[in-house]
Amino acid sequence: MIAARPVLERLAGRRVKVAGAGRDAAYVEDGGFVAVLTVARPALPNGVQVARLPRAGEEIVVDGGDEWDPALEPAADPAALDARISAAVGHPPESLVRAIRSADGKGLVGRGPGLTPEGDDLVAGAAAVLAAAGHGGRAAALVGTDLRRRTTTLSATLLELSTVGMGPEPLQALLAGDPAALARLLRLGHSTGRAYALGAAAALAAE
Amino acid sequence: MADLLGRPLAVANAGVDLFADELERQGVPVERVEWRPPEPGTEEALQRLALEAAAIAHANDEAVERLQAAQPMLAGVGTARDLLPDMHERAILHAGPPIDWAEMSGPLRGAVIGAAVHEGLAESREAAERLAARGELEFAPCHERGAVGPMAGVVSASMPMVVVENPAHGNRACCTFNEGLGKVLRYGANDDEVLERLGWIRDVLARVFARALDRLGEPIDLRAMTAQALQMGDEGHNRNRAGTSLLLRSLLPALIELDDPSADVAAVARFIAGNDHFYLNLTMPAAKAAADAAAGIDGSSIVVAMARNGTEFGVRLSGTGDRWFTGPSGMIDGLYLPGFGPEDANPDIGDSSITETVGLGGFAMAAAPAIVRFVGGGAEDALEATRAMYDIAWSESRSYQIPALGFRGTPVGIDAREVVATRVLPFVNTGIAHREPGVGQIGAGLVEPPMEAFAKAVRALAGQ
Amino acid sequence: MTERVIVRRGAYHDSVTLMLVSSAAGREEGAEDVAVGMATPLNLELIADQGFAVEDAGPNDLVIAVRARDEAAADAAVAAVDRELAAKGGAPAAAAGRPSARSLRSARDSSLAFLSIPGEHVAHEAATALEAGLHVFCFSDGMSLAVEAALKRRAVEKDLLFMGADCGTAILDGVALGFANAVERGPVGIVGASGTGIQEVSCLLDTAGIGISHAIGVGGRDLSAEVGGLMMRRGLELLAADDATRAIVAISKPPDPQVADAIEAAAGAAGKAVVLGFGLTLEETAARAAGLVGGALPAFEERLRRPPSPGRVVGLYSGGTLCAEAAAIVGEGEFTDFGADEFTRGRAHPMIDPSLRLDRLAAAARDPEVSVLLLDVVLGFGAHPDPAGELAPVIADVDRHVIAALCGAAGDPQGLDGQRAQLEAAGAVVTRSNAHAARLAREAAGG
Repeated sequence: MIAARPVLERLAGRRVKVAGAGRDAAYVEDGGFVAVLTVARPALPNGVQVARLPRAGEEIVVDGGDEWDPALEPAADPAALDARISAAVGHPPESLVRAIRSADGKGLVGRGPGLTPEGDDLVAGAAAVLAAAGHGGRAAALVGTDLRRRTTTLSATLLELSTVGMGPEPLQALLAGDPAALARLLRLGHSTGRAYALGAAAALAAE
Repeated sequence: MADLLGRPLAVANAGVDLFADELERQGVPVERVEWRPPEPGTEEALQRLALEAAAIAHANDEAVERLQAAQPMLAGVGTARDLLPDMHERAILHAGPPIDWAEMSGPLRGAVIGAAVHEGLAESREAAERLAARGELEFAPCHERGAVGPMAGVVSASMPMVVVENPAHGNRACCTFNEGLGKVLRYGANDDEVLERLGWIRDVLARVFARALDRLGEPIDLRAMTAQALQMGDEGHNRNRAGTSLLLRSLLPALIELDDPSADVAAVARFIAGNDHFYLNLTMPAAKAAADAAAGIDGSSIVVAMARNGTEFGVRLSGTGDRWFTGPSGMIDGLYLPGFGPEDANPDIGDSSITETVGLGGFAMAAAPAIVRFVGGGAEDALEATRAMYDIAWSESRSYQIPALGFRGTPVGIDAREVVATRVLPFVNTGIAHREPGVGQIGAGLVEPPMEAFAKAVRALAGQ
Repeated sequence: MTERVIVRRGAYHDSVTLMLVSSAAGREEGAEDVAVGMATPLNLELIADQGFAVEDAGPNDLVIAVRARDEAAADAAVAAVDRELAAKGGAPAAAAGRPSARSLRSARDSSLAFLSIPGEHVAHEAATALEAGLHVFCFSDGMSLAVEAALKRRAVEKDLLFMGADCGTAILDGVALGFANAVERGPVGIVGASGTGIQEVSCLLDTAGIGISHAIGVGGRDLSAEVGGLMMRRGLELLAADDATRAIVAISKPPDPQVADAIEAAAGAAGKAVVLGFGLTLEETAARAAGLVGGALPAFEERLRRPPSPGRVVGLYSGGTLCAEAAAIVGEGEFTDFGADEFTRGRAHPMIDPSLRLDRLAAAARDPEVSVLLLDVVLGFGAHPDPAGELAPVIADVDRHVIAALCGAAGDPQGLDGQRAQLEAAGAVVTRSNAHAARLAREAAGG
């Protein structure tokens, strides 16, 4: 069993209620922090692996397990990685490039269907890469404040983690130079992974 | 095949977990199938049938399409001797696969005796028993004469029967009227009260019911009515309250307009209203009409009959003609009426498992949370019972849907190969008869058919 | 015209579900406009722009807004929404914790069946998977040739891919199935009748900095007269139609002559450059493929670390094709494929469990007539987490030539460089080309 560090820090040993359960994941919420429970290894920086998916309304205790630190490292060669990502998924949308330039993601956060709206995923991908490269201030400004009013609690959790340089496992591996990681990232969620990749590419280009 | 490359992969894994783990590590969603080896003795047959998989698939598609396309219409009422082939005076039909007097269980013997007296073939019950023992009655399964009967399923020449037409295939099926609860012929009871009621059914109920149907002017669409009953908490076998109510609602205007003696009409209305299972005797011939349409397709592994005579459980496949494949009738796991227990129970009996054959009954358990206590659990178990049946069903019903499963169609078309391969047996809901003739229903529950019957059927389909 | 706005509190639905919900509602007759999303301020603005008024909804609530011709149509659209939400397992708690299906026909959410059950039972399961509309990756062996041919004909009819039986390797869109390596993605597509053949060629291309688009395994008997190369032909068609693939490599031992004609015809029809590696070494095959996309394999220049000494060559392999290739190049010697049926019955494949081969290695090293030990070390998904770590202590005790063909890619979980370093530290000569390893073995025993 593996759990992302932020989950262990906030929830270890606590009894928490399952707020919702989908086909592949369940969600627990505690004081505005949402953790994602999956049977597969965690891919998100708020992920935790469980032996079986609990049902909505069940109470579970998140106990120990192997800790995974979702902190990203800066890319060794940002320009080359940007080129690789762009070759695979195309260029980031203009709205995102503008948002990074002006350090203001207001027009993106909370836009799009889904538990993590696509706009949020773009911003989170960019913010995580910026923060990992030492631009924590720009990342925080890009994400903005008052997140829980602007988007879902799950997405707000991920955006906050992105401002301290934490991101999905495939993005972490991609920045660390794992060549197979991009394909893995693109398979994350329905559009989530692709949006993260575009966000990362935009941030790498801006570095 | 454009759907394989260039889009996210999702994998169903059967076998070693290591490979599933590796796929999950790569972020691929994996459904882990809980594979286990097939029923011993069927491995070779399954392998042979795999060679014919394409032909079997075509045959099964056709068989299940005929099940799906069936339009069972309640068309009228007749008498067994006029409706069924070779229904002479001494012919007695029964539930399940063929059986001799010597092997018959208590309830079936009791019903045979009652029918012989009812037909005037014997003066007394003792005389009827002697007649049967001397081989002077001709026994045949209902199923082989285009009919079905609940529990003992006994039909004799003068009994009135409902006629269900299936215009989609041009065939029909018949069934007797349901006698109600308590002491009834179908549970082997045969005292004067039972025989008196059989007389009333013949002389009053059948006449009034037939005239009401006539007055309606068009046949009743039983598929639509059963589909609606499923939305109202019936599963089409052990709970028939909604179906019976819907039927009575359809008949009521016509009944009131009849110029028959009002005492007769009132008695008929009261009889139907007081008998939740009245509709079962319409669901069953409707199912039989659909299943018969699906029979006789070369190579098909779809089950077209499951029926029990109280001694043996018999199965027929679409692709194996008229042959019955049998195993011992099981004991029923269920709830008993006060004062009775498993030691009083007769082994499983009746043709009513024709409902499961077409995707009702145990296959629609999730629609009927009200009766899940029969399976010893809560609403979850009812959902699980139906879900498990998708493993062995060829398709999903277009007509019968389950609200609690997001209006998913019930599992329909039991594939005998998959029964032996997964060792998942069909769930059959059923009533429990007392083992002594004449006592009647003592409970209800769930029964597992004998795997042996399916194993034999699969081997026969494979030419073994 | 009538409007409905429904708010579901605290709903956890992913975007796929919401798209399905939205399209299901939109398909209902009489539904004009449908908007579905989480009630974030930005989404609410968009919904408001479409003319809907939504009140009292927060970011964790799901909003469904429907505009329809009349009341009945609006009801139908709302019912469609509920149906879809329920079907996707979002709403009812019952969907979670469900026991697994017993039959592949219940695997409704998958596109491919991965079968590794005992071979005597696999025919039925494979047939079931095809009838359920699943592509099949059949790792299991033991399927009769007649069944394989019948199932592959069925797969063609159903427009499905049947990889196997006894298929060890595939890589589809970067996903490794079975034993496969984390090679770079790139322009070369592979279709192969041999799992280790695919692994070797894809890893050699990886050394050349050339990635692969997809690798499709078809099983070792696909090019027999009975099966007629049905799946290799399908694989060629698939790769021919795939935008990511610029050149194609087909890997097999020399096929039945008639089948070879059919494959050649299919290759000719691909409209892309195709290397048919029949009768070539895997290194030659990879080199030609590299050439097709303007690359080249590096020269394999590893040398013996001790002078040649006359004696017997013992080849101890986990990969069947690698073993056969080495035996052909070395000429004389004793070659054992530990992945063959007689060694795997009742135990794991040697790529997973190396113990049997380690015992043999130690025994051969004590045989005075043996002067050269030749091994393959296969890395990648599905393989042992540290094969070099298992082999190194045994190799360190061997006073003979030890030559290891290291089949792996830089991205493999075992770590290519670390594996190499461990083997070299133990005294082995390590090369990434099996053909080169075999040439070195021949030289070492030549004296």
